[in-house]
Amino acid sequence: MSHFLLMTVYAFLIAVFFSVLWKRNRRDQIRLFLQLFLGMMGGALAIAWLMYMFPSAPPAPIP
Amino acid sequence: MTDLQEQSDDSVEAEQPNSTESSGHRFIAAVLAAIVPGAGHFYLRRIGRSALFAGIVLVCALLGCYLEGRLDTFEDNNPLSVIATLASMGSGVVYFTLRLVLGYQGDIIAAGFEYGTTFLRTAGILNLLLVLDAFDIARGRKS
Repeated sequence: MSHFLLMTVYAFLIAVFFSVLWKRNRRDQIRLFLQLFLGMMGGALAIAWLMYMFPSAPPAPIP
Repeated sequence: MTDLQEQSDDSVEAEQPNSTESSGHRFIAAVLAAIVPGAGHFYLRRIGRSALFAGIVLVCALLGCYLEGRLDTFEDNNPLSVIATLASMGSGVVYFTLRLVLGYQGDIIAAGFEYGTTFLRTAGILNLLLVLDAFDIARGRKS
């Protein structure tokens, strides 16, 4: 499974869980679900984009 | 119904605790929720929510196993393992079935090890939140 797919599944499960746990009204649940899901996905992609500008150092040579 | 009343009905927290629920009732709901994911809500007749919450916890746990994540245990000289293990144990019967019945441990060289560990810990933590939610519902603080 790809990293992106796993991240999407994780964000979906968490967003569904908390929207049903915290809200009772269907409209509020959908709103919170979208806030959580898009927030997690957008936040992760934004951090990934920022990290892309600072690539990690090449691996140390094996002695 | 006024807007204020409508907001009150939609709110998670009710103003007045439900006095019909006994203290034993609360603890039964909390203990059931701690043992079996979703059982506390089922006991409180929140069938739909019970099924949904149980499904989410089980999917997290099964996905964690599929990815061969670590099922935490207490380790010497590693205090953080206590927190991680308690979090994983939050999934109740799922944790102990995997650990004691199936002998599951995880595989550190698996490609999905870190992701799987996260899913397994998340399953436990979500179920701990369900314990608190079931307790609050039984107490009348939530609907």
